[in-house]
Amino acid sequence: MIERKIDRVIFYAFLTFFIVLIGFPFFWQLSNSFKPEREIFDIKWLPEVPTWANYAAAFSRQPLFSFLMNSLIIAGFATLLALLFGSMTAYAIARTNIRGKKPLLLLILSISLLPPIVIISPIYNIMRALSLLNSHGGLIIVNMLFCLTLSVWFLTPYFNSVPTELEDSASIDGASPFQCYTTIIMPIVAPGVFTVGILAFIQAWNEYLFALVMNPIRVKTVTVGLKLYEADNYIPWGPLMAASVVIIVPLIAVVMFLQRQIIGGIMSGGLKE
Amino acid sequence: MKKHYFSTILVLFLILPFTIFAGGEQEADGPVELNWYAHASTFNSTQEQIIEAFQEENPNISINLIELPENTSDKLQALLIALRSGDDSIDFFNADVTWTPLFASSGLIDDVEKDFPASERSAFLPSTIDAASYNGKVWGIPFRTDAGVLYYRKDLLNEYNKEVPETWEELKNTSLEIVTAEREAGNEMYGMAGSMKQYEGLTCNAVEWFYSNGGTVIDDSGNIKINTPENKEILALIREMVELDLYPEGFSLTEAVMYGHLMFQGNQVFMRAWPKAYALSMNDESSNVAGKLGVSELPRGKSGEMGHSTLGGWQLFVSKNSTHKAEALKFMKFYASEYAMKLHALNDSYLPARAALYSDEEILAANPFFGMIEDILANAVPRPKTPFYAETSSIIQVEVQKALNGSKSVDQALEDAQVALEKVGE
Amino acid sequence: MTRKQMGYLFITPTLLIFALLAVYPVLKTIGLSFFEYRLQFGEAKSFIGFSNYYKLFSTPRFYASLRFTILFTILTVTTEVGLGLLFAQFMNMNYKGRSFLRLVVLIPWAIPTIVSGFIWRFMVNDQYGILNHIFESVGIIDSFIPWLSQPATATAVLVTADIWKTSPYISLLVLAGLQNIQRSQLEAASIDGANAVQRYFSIIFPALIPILATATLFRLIQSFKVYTIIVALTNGGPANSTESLTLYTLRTYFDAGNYGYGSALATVTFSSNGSHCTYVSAGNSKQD
Repeated sequence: MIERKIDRVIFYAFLTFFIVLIGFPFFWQLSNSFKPEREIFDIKWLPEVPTWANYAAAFSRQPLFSFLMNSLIIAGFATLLALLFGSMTAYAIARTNIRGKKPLLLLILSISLLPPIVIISPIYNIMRALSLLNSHGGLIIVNMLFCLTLSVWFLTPYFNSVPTELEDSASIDGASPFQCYTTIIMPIVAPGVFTVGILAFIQAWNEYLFALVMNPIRVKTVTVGLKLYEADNYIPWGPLMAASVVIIVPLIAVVMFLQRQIIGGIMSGGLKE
Repeated sequence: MKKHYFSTILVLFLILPFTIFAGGEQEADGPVELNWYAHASTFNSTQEQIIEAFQEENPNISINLIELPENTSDKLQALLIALRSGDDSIDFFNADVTWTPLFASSGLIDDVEKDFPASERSAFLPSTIDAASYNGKVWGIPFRTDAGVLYYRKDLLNEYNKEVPETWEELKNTSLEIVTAEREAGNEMYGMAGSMKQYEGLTCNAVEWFYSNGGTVIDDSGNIKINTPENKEILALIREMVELDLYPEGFSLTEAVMYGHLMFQGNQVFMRAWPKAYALSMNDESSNVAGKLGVSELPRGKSGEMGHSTLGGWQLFVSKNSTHKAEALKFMKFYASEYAMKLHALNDSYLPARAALYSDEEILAANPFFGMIEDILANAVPRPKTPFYAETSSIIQVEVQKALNGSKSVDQALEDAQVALEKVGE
Repeated sequence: MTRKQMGYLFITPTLLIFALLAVYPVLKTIGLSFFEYRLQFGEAKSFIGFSNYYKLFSTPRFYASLRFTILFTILTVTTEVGLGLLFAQFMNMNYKGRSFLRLVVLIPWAIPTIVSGFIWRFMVNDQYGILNHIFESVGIIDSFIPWLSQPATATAVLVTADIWKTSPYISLLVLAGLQNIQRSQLEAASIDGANAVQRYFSIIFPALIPILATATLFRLIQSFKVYTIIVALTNGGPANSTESLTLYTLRTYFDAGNYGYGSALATVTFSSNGSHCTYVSAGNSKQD
């Protein structure tokens, strides 16, 4: 705690400065999404005559609702699949004595850092061969890949933190390893899985490159759809800002309600393993 | 709850394949559905009107209009990716004149030799058929042609007692005089604008500068000839105009989009643009200069004989993977009919691809300058015809932009462009 | 079934996914870089050895995009780590409004890059951009300037947008490190009479070095892949001055349809990143 008054004033001044700096672009987006076009061009701080018109336009100019549904389906299933496979793998790494854990972790690390362009062209061809282009399926699978590396990476510490005695005493009672996994370990790590799920979902929701290359015209996600607002003679900033508010509202809501878990998740798994 | 958590995931995982891959059922009866990948809707919804008229005549066919991205190279990228995927959901689509060699040589579209026979082609402007042809076959049905024109403020030229400039030199001097006087009077005013952003529009502008000064990019026998005295001369002149602040400061950002903005606000004397800008200028909601704009041929350079426009325009291609080609061709021809082209000309100032429409009185009444467009079109120059067009165009854009924003000398930029263009396709 | 057997069973799906979607594509890309393979020639491929690489290393555009990518990476990573340290210090202190700061910090992280790109493009607009407005009223500039139309200012905007989006995330990582520093260590130091600044540099900063090193390397690798923010803000312009390696490669693949040459570009990107990767892994195994 800061004792001297003058220090406290300086401290809060700095703090406010930083909050404004970080928060301003978001505020500006929000503010302009409620302005009629004239006020956007006149650069008003706040809308004088707030209007929902931009939001209506955001949904009528482009099929924003279907963009949202597509993103929800793709990010949702990618996350679920990644959590399923990721928790299995994390369990195997943390709680069994399989060989080759270290190479496996290194593989996961390198894949999560892989430049997407290195794999994008072959993945495109694989998906083409499987007839999964221009559909939800292809993007679910690709997003699952990146969510999976994230899940394993972040979940392994959670599995490590479960006391071994719990599992041991269950096996003595005659439970099979699989029963131990489903009935003892999973319930304990469920909150952690949930947090990691949010991180994975946000990552998949925000993905742009693969969504553009694999589904350019039929199954558009929110990130690809947003680029379509630029119209023939101008950029309709009002509706564009409204659409981007709609796109990020679910994320901001999640962040607000689950702030503690997300920060905890990032901090616990971010860099150490 | 905790137990459910895991089983829920498992169940979702199991039903996943069915929810996602079960989308492809076909309706047994009902009209054939065609997907047309087209331009974004205009404010007059002309495309929708034409579809409606077609569906009334052909109740067994229904057309879904699907918008492509606005930017031409984004359109191309999206189409190429989707068509290469073997997706059969694209039946036919709008294609730029420069795309013919690429699509024809990549095998992604079918030719229209049989369905669009020579007897029908003769009603079209020869340049549009030429642009749709490659390797001795016709690949597309043209529905719109395009050529750059010079817009000028009739009122301002009158006020300053100036003629419509015939050479670039005159254009520079006239705009300098007007801009200087207006700025001294405290008004925001610019001289000239064209598409200078790094995109296809810049290639169109650059090709016009070069040809209007007697230069070229690729000569008749296919040799790269961009590093020539004529091209240097005209590019140096444009750069001088940039340095004189005759172009708006953000000129290298301005797509068709933004420079129209200044012209329509009334803060600019000249503008190089496509004829469709005329319809926009007459719209009171978006323009302060309705009725004040004159249209003329593009000026020529010092060493050139006449101004040349770049030939633009759009055609329809039918995808190789379409499962309803006969129906698709039926609509494509309808869209290239006199009725449809006329509607576009009246609503959107689109230049018809059919020669007869240039003497249509209704069209001429709506677009008085269409009368002289025939001459402009006759002198219009096509952009380089090559399957490697995207690379060719991108080199021109980058080097010209570097010359204009001063990061390279004009000589250096054209020399680099020459070297780079010679390597394309290797 | 023993637990070990179950372990092998449990990693099988993940391994299959990795093999199909990561390992195979990487090898395939490396393989294709030795072929002439273009959209214009249909699906025909012909082996041409190292020709794509010769071409690549004699193409100015490759060097230009490499130079931009390196510049962007260095500018963003150094600033982000610096700011991350500062923010973390703020977040670690005890005061009213601490949770609000933590919330605000998460917003840029959660916003999709493409959205933040549009917001910044709107804010630096040359006709009605708020940044121009603020700078003009404070007196930094005389009139509105078109930020994105000159290479230097366009790069500055890109770097700023990336810093805005990523610094908060770094600060959370640093915060994790700060909270791991033993309270007793700090108390011991303060009994010794060290003041706050001395304490920071003698105890806190050294303790943070491992986490900072890892964070820096991670960010170096991620920043090297920069693409989305460029697409939203400048699309590589003006005159390709903000074209990153990834953007160049993508244009080669999907605009020019040159898959062979594109693969060579991707392979070069991969190997320059690969060297970072080895470094990270080496650093990581040392920590264990």
